[in-house]
Amino acid sequence: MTRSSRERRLDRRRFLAASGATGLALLAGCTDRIPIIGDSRQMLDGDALSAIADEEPPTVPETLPVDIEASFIEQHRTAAQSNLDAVPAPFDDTEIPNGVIRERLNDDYGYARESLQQADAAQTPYSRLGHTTHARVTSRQLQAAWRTIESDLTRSDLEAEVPQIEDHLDAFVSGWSYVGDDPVRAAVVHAEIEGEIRGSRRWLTIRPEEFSSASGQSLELGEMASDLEHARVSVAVASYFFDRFRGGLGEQVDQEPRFERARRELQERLQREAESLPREDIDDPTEFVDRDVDETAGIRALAELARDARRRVDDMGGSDDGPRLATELLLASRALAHLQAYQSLRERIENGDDVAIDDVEDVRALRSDAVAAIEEAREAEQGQLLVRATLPRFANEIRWTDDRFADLSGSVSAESVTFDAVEYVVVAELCRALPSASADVATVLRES
Amino acid sequence: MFTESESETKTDADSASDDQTETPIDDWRHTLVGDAETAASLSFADVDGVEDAKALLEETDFESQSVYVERHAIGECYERQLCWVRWTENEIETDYARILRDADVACEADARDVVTYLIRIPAALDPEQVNSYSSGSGSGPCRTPTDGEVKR
Repeated sequence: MTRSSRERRLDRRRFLAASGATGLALLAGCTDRIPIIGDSRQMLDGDALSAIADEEPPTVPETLPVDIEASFIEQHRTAAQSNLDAVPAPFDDTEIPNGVIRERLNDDYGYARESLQQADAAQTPYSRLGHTTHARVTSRQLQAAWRTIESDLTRSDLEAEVPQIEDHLDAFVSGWSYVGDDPVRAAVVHAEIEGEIRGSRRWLTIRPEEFSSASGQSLELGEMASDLEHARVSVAVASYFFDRFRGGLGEQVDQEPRFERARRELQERLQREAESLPREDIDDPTEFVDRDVDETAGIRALAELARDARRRVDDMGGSDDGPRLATELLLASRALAHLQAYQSLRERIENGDDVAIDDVEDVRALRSDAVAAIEEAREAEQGQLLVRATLPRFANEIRWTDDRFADLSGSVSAESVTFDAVEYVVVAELCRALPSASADVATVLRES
Repeated sequence: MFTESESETKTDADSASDDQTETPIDDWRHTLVGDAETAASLSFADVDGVEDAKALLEETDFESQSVYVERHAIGECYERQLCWVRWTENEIETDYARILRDADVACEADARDVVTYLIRIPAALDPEQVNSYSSGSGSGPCRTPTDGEVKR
């Protein structure tokens, strides 16, 4: 993957010569650091690229440090199955003559059943619960739409559900507090609960005119029923997590003052470390490094990490959509991972690795590097609880990038391949940085 | 500037297939009728709503009114409702709501109808002067024009 600057510079001269006199005249007055976005003439073997993703990437199941009982998951499965059993799906054109509505409801039926199958195959109770509640929400959408068609459900029925769910949510929130023993575990669990509370409030935000305009319309009322079911499930899950977490605590300590202190310290640290990011007015990411290098996959990954790191630091404390104290501690670990990943990649490039793509083997090497980084992070003992809370979403990026390569064939431009392969570089650097960033945040939490 | 009247004619996409060999059925077409002679020269297919369309043209006073004719293709399972029309001496703009038909209306998800609207505008617009046309559509209820000119 590493190439010499000399070879790179030769590539650049060939490109400029081919680009014609007008281009040269325009560029001559600018700078000697001319950004080149790949070599548009270079083509790679699409079939070989599609084979890169044949090997399954490591799976990182989603977890939560709460003991989730099978009986709780079963409650949601029963509700989902009950909704499915209440409709004569899949529908044919005698049951629903309107083809658009028929297709949508049959799709919902398929999605709900698929979610139940995914729940059966899930590796952790937390993941199983997620698939099961998804099935419950989707099946509720299907059931409500069908009941609307059967004139068995009105907008008033749904409107009447809102205050009931709000009452349950308010009752839960009034009894909830940031109790815990280990502050790191408490932060992870309460961040999850905060997310459910925010989600529930969001799902309940249906304006009166939306109810009014949806009156009698099966798909619209189905979607509203789905939103309300989402809100209802979020309250149930938040309440369950809190009860299970609190019930298992040896000592119940109010962690809120500690969380507040940790958040302040982390915000200050993030602001300080963000000063090392490149100035926002620098458009050319090749200027981020003190070395002559083209706009390779590595340089683009560097730009992406810088952009994401800055956004994450700027977003800290900037939202007012519900409780976020514990959430921001987790977000701080992710922002810190981005900052450290940026620094690490910058040093890597400055030390001579262009992180460039010239052939299929370069792409394969970048992916292997990302896979190895995920596996190392998965096994890391440093900041383990916080790593587990974040690693699945970082690791998922590799699947999405694999999907982009999976259907390639024929000749594919190196420019296009570079564009997609950037994510392999980003994933690798983030996963390498995550244990250390998580350990730093855990230390701040425990020492605050 | 409210529309005084409108008329809608619907053509099954299959029966309009001769026409579609040259123009795709989702091709947006429009014309402005500014005088009785042009109105009389229009031809009509044998489709639903054609009598209403002819009546609208015959009852238009082209000294003070004009008729905007606009054709759209739309999924068979949807109906299109004219929300508003606005105009200047150089420009005509329309906006529609796309509404899903009831569940008991037999239709196929991938089939299309072609619908032509005749919209009577209470101003004698000169087709030679109107050089800008636009049309929007959204799902759900009608939206208000962004500049606050509420129509219809």
